[in-house]
Amino acid sequence: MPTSLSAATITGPRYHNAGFPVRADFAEAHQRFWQRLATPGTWWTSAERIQLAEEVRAAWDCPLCCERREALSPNAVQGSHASVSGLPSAAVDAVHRITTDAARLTRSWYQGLLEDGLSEGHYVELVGTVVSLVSIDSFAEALGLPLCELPSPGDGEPSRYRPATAAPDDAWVPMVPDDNSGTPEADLWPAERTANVVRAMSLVPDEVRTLCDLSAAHYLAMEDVGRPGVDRGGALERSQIELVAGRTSALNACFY
Amino acid sequence: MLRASSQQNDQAVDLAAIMDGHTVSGIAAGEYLVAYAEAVVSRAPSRITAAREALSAALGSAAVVDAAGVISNFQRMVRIADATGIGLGVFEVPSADMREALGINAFRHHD
Repeated sequence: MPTSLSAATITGPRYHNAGFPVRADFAEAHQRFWQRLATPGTWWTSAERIQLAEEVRAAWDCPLCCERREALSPNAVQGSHASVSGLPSAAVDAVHRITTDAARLTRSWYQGLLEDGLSEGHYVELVGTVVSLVSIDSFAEALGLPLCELPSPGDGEPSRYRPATAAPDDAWVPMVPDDNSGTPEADLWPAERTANVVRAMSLVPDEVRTLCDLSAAHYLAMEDVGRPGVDRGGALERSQIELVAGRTSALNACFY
Repeated sequence: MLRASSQQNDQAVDLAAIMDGHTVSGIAAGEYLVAYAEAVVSRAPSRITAAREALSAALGSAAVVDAAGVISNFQRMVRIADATGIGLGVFEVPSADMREALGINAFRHHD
């Protein structure tokens, strides 16, 4: 992942007054995500990425999202999101739905976003941005801490890099093949040894790198996830970690 | 992974605790960990505070931080899975019996 930050350039969560013994690797990983928000991504500018983040925080109080969550089907409730940005409506809908009601997303909903002009690359980077902030904010909420102020946008244009090997696969979005050896994406995972939930982000390789970076602080290094005997040596045993992981996934009605 | 990690350590674990939240899991302090996860996912501040304090009393403040990290990690991972429509891939076969028994298949994507 990106290089460490000097003290003068640190923005983002620091947790030094958290009232809990928050490990340094949490703050470091979260600050690297803040740094990513303050720089252009692959498909979105920095300003747009920060607007995506602002929409995540707005989504929790969006009346339309609240009403949809209570409905038998989200499609039964029509209306407009309480948007706080100038982002296209398809992007706003994607951010709000992924934040507040992800378990009921469908392929046809995703296809509708593409028909409304959101590219596959824009969508995958949007997903990566949304889920990272949801996670970091959830960590703060869990510890009773205020949410960290978002960074100021930086200059520059998105790279628009698309892996040459990305193709339709076992997902709605194109993915880099399991065997990534000999490609610019060889660093994302050991060839033929990864899971779809990691490959899902691979249309935008930097989103996989962020995923791995955050996972190493929050849960386990990716290479240890499939090794049930590995304990990270923290305050929880592996079985306790997996109980928390499983219950959280079930509460979110996640099939994976 | 709970099944695999408990087998690795010869622990008897009731996986139903993952789905219903009240079955005794067999994991040390499992009831506090489950209650904390439920509180954080609910986003209700008073509920989170109560569950956090109970977990801290049971396992200590470092365990609270670790648990907060895991919960928030899976707040991310579930959304990736749901938002990208991934299939189970290599996990499809080895998890089939458990998924059927626990009712996890009810969470599958609807196209």
